[in-house]
Amino acid sequence: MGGLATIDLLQANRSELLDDVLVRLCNILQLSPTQFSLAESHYHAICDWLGQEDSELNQFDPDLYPQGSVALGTTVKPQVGEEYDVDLVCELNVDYRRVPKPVLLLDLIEKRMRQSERYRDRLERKKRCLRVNYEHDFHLDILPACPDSGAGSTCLVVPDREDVRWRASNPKGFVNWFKHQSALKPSVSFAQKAMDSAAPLPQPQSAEQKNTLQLSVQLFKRWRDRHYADTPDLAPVSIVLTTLMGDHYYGEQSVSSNLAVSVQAILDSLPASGRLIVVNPSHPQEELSERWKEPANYLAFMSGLKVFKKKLTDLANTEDMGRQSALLQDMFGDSVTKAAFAEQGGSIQKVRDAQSMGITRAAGGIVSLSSIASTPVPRNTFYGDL
Amino acid sequence: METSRKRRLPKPPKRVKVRSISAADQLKDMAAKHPAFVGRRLGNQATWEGRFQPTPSCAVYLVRIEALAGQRPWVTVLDPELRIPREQWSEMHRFSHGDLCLHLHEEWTPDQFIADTIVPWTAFWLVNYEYWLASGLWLGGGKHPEPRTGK
Repeated sequence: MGGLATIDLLQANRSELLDDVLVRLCNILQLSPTQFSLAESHYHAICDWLGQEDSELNQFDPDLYPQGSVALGTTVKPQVGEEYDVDLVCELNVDYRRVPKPVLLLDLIEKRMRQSERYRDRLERKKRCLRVNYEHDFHLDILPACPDSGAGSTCLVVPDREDVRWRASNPKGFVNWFKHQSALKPSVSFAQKAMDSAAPLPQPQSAEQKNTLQLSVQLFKRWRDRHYADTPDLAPVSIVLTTLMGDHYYGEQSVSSNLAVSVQAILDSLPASGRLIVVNPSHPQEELSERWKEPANYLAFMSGLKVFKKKLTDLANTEDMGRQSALLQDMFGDSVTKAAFAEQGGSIQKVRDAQSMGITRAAGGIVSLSSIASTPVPRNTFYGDL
Repeated sequence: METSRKRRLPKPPKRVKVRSISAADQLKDMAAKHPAFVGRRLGNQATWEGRFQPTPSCAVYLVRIEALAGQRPWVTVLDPELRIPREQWSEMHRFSHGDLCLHLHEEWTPDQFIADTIVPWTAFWLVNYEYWLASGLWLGGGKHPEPRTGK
């Protein structure tokens, strides 16, 4: 759980050291605190603009809140040249049955946004959402939504993929399910969200404060981005990976073990014939894995997952950190992996600089470094001839 | 090289000569502190072989330490073979013979026990080597002599 990065590295076992690298890696991969607070202030401003008295949308009491990876705390640095998506829901208090085409609400939102000089040049109309582009490598995607009064408290309808008709969704319900799976109590900001008209973005968590499930989802998605880099059309979508990880989370605390356990459990859950069907846990009528109706997509998922499992198994049996790094680079990327190891190595130097590093004799008389050792490492300066 | 180093040394009026610890005493001390190290003596020279694993993520290294009484000890990694390309030996603090550069000349004097100095420095060198393997960066600090130009 929390505090992984505050472990005493010179007292840690192998699994704790590896987890510390993975935590650092996730920290490097996620939306930075600066980007996070920028996104938050931008979306608060948009919410105000949409809801002002002179706005046509004022009567619908617009409520803007995050969904997806930002709400879940599972953001992952996009591939080179792409930006972070910050997905927002713009909930409008409208009886959707009186709005047969979702595009009408999207038009209304766009019209209001175009009235502002601040947003006019930043807008990009997408099929089912309105994108607001910003500097700092992220954009906000605003998806219109209406309460699904018949279905229950947090249920919504949102435009379908083609923006032709409404379909059921439940982003708040999904977040609550995910929190429940990870055995984290909903944070204050989330508990209050139902009441607040403009819900705050969840506070940016540094990766070491994240729970094992969040970290595992980040790594699973990152692996997906790399494994399917050349065939992005075959890549499983994030909500499917998130749901699978959550479904197969059994409370394991170590990130590396959890990945191995969960990926194996997912493999074991694949039916011998036919295909796996993943439903939205917050809306069981909705199938999330529709893309797997295309056999090529499903086959690519199954074979990719087996490769991933093999590498995770290898990771548990590496003979040194060089091999460990090579495997992690292969799964999650070269530069982020090297940076994570460099950070951990830097922390070990600090122990040394604080003169609390020593050596001790482990089993078999093997000399090991330790922070509670009797023989200190005296000052030295590694020297080299040229 | 040896002559140029001598020339650079300041000339103290009267150098206090340190008392070298004999090979026999180094062996006795090492046997007490690291009984698992296999040590032997050949005249004035002591040699040990011992195993190191800086952290549980690292490999177990078999290391040989050779020390002629009064002289700078030599430390060589016997197994597993170090994976450092020859052109990077210097930046990795490896001497041209392949032994490890653990300290500046003046940081170790023959009146010091090898078990208290060379052994911990070797463990620290090895952890830095492993982080170099993993990150591509040498994080352990250190110095290199000025590259000699001209002459």
